[in-house]
Amino acid sequence: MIFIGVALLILALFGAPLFSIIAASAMLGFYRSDIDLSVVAIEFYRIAEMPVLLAIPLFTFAGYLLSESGAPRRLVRLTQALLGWMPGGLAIVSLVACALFTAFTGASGVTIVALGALLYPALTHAGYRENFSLGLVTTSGSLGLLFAPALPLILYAVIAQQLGIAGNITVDAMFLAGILPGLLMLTLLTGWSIYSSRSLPLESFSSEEALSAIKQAAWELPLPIVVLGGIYSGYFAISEAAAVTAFYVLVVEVFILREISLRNLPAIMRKSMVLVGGILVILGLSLASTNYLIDAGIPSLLFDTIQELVSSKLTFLILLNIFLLILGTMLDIFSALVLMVPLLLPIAIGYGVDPVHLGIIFLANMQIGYFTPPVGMNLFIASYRFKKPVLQLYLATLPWFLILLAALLIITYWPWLSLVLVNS
Amino acid sequence: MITKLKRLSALLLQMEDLLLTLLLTSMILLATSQILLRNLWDYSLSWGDPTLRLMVLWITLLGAMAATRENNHIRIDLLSRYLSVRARRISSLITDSFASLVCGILAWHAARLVLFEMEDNALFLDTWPIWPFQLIMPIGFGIISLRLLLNALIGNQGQAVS
Amino acid sequence: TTLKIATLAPDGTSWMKIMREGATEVEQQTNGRVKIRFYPGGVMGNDNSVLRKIRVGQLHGGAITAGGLSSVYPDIQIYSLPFLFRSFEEVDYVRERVDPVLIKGLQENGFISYGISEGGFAYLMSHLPLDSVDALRQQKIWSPEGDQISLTAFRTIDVSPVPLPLTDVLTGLQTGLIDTVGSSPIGAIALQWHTRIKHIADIPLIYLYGTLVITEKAVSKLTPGDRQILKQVMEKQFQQINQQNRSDNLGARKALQEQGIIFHQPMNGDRQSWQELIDKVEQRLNQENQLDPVLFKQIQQHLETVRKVKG
Ligand code: NA
Ligand code: NA
Repeated sequence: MIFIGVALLILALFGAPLFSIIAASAMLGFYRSDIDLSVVAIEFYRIAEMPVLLAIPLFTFAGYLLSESGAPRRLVRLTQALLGWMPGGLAIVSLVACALFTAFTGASGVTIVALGALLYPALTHAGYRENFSLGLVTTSGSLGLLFAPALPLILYAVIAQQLGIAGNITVDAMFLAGILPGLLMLTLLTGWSIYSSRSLPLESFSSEEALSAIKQAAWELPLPIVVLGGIYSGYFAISEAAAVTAFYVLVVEVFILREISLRNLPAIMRKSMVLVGGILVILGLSLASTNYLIDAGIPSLLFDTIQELVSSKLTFLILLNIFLLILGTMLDIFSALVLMVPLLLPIAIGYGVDPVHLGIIFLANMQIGYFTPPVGMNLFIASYRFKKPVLQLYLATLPWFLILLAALLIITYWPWLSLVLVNS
Repeated sequence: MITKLKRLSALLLQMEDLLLTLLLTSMILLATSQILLRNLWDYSLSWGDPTLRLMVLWITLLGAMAATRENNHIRIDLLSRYLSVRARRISSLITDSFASLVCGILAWHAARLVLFEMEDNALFLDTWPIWPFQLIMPIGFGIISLRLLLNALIGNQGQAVS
Repeated sequence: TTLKIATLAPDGTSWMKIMREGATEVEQQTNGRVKIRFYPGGVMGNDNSVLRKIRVGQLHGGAITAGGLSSVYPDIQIYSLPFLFRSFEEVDYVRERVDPVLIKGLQENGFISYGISEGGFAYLMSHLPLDSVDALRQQKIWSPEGDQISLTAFRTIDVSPVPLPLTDVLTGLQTGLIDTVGSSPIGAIALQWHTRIKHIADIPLIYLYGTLVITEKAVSKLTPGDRQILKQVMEKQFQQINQQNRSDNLGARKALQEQGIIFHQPMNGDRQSWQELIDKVEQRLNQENQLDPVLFKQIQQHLETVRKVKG
């Protein structure tokens, strides 16, 4: 059994598709328990029985469409017109724009490629140090992961529900829980930006420019308001919000602004659905592997073992953070979610950690993992995109890394921040 | 003969893309019109949500098929970047054959599930037999398996993921 | 032998406690030869998913709702025809006589049932007054997604219900997507729906129930003695659950009343129009659902008898 586990790990490390690794481990488990392997297909079919999954293709398509249109440009211009006059204005613009954009597109590196390319030259041009600017755009690539309607928040709720131990954890609860921790990160980074740019000259606020920027972005402006307002007020179910978003973005970018031609539309649809297929096929098979774990009673076994080694909740949380940070540098967020949540959640509940809080801790770690040296994925994407050596990026992101680490500690040890909006 | 086969396979690929596009489009339209119907005319389609959920299943498999075509699946893949070209070739031969085998088994068991549902006369919306709507599972995993095998034998044709 | 049984009921409910007690008792009495392992909280998926897994042998049984089992044995849902029963008295009278028929029917389809457990009566509950049939037609009523019986029933009386999955109902009530739900008193309180409700039409809408089934294939592997122990213990536990639910529902009903929710009795003139509506629904459902007409007639005769006695 250990031999097979190691063999699967090696196959994964050498690049076998993750879904095949998960499927193989589920099938091996069921095979050893003498259970008919068609259970894997039965579990996979549950994809067609979960209403919330509809949101995933719809939001993903909307995100792809937005990033292919002129929306990133308009978003940057608008935030700059509104916030550019502040000390550190442009830096704050970048943070806010990236956070918003990531919430809608997921942290798949799209933010760095689509927005970073606009922001980095603007930042250096405005006199920000090169390393500061590099650090900012790289860090911002995963900022916004905690804000609705980011896919990882949805996926965490879906996976946690599957375990049947997390009470009534819902996507709505995750959306609410992410707000304050996300704002905390944003605030700390804003503080750092203001401090770093204290010697730069201030730009003046131009109401003309602001007005013209608002006018230009008039079609996209209602989007976050309608979608987020709709979700947070409870007016829309998640999948409805996703439908409205996809439909609205489609109509605006293709038929009203005409920045994307009908001829290019199928290619964009296809590209976005390739990502969706990749994610959902993993999710579907991880339902099977999770089902095997439950069938074999492994989560409670694991908890008993770990509880013998780690006695206090505090120690557990410290170890959890270290583990997740390392994991986050190696796995992309979707893989980490489907692989680790089924194992970690029962343990965390055993230590008295709230399932919603655990989700926020998990995602906050993953967010930092994206640019944790030496192998965080966004470090490489930024290095490639801005043609800078990876070593320079390690250095450039260091202050940002430390600040978010501080935020992570606050989020981890102060559950109130994650839970107050959920419980109110 | 070979050109004919090539043309046929190109046609099949186009059909696959077309199906994917049509599915997404009708998903967006159906989901939106449900909201409109409900809010403007107080009317609900009882078949709307179940149909949308089946479409998610179809999108999943069609999307995964396309991802296989482009060699664009999510992988952990920490080691292969340190390999020489030749070693990388061998490693992808092994990993892709492995994944192909796994998908073959998945396709087989998905086919059995469909057969069970057919025997049990399971219904979709209490009206139609559900098994034709489930066929995408065995077919999808079957095609993914074949594509991976092809990839393993003639090397990576698609572009690697960024 | 370990029997693996799935249920949608969450762990920690009194339901699960009684079931687990039963499992311990069975294990003790059989000297550990028969163990029962539960998978609560829907971790094995919905009723359909559980039935699929029973078919391929991952699970041996499940506590499944009448609607869920209808694909195995359609007649099992016969008690859930809308407006069939008017009181618990009627329920008790009919069930005493018809339960054995249904349990036999399940057995003929390969499932051993250890008794039927009541979930209570579902009543129409609304944010808005429910004092007449016309008022009902004005409302946005929830129908459980996939539940064709309630869908047909509502459509028959010219109401277009809003199908939603259970998980979206509370949000639906909060946002006004729906304003009326059908639920048992315990259900309404457990799911927090009661916070959004001011009126209840005091007419039993649907009788809710479920049953614990284990496949005959799994049971037949036990020794006759163990089979007998399993049957005795589980039937006893299930009866206990049945009674517990009855008293819980009556308690919950009282709690709703104390909370200030208004229970509307049909008025004299109204009684007539409700009854017309009820007859219409019954007729329609009988045509559409291929339930056994003989069985249905039997139930109606029982009901006539009990109604006559009552006067
Ligand atoms: Na898993
Ligand atoms: Na990562």
